[in-house]
Amino acid sequence: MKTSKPICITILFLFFSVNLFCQTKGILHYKLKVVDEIDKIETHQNHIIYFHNNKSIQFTQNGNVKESTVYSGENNIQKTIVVSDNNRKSFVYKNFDKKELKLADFIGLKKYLIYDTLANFKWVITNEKQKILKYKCTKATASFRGREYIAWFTEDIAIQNGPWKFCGLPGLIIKIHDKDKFYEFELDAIDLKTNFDDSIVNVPDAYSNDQPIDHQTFINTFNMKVSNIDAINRSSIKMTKIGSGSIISRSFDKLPSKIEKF
Amino acid sequence: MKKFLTFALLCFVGSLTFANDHIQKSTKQLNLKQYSDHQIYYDKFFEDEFLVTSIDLQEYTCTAVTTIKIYQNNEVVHTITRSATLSMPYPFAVCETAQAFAQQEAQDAVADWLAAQQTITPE
Repeated sequence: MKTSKPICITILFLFFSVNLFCQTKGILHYKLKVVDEIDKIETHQNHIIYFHNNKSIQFTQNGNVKESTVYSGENNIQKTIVVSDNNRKSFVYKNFDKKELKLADFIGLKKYLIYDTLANFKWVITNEKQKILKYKCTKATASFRGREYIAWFTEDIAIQNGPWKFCGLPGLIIKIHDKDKFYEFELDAIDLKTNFDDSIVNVPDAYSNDQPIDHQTFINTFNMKVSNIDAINRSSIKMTKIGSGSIISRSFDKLPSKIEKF
Repeated sequence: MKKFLTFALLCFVGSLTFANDHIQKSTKQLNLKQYSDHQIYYDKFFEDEFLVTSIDLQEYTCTAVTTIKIYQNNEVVHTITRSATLSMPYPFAVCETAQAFAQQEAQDAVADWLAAQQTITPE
């Protein structure tokens, strides 16, 4: 009986800890830096994650990119065109109870509803520590679909989650980037006292009529589009006569690369 | 013998003069043809207002590139690049024309791309 008392206390403590974790509700703000693999131009995005009762949903926040024309180099013009959102926003939805991961990703302006698994990452937790923001973080690494990732997580915040598909570490991911730093998420703010409508933590209604496809089908579709564009680019050279001169024009269209390579 | 030598010398000088005349005439015809080509070009672009004062046979080349990135929600969804290399035998407006061409091609390609996207209906 003497030995069973501490065990009971431990079980009770664990029960309340898990219950406390389940009740956690809040908002995480991450900044994402994307570096174009070809022209090395940086793009910055703000992401917001609503989490409640072992479920979370991440959205890209409204853009601050403006239409612009920049002259880079003597004869090079860089233009930016912004296309308005059609209310089918990209999102990443995780349901840890049902072990469910659903997301909307795009090819051009078309959005696809995709299902995937939460058990994607085989993390290797190292002994390396670092203080990021005000949190004591531990380094972990994982290889995932063509990229090597370095994550810094903290056990100070008992939320086993992170941005995009990342999760499965014993604490919140504060910072994560691939080895080449083409993609880098960093926690910007955390709000545990917030109040939002719980129904937001679900697959958005705009996708209720979509038939979800698996990750492999999405990546196959993406790769096929890339091949089509490459073929068009290769056959795009044309010559036009102008008086006694001539113009040779070429096309180099490109889809943005995805975080996952395959 | 003396008469024969005089006749031969006259023939030689005569042939040289003829050859020289012929070369000059050919060059003149060639230049006139080139001038004519240039005039057509300038007429097309500057509505007869441009006066050709000299003919330069050097070829001038300029490459211009226009890149248009299309964003939605701060995410790049497509990148369109058009390059134009203009070569012509005179320098005037070579880069300006190449730039205008590359820009127009890129803008047309964006319009085509957006039109193609609009035909896609959400699943």
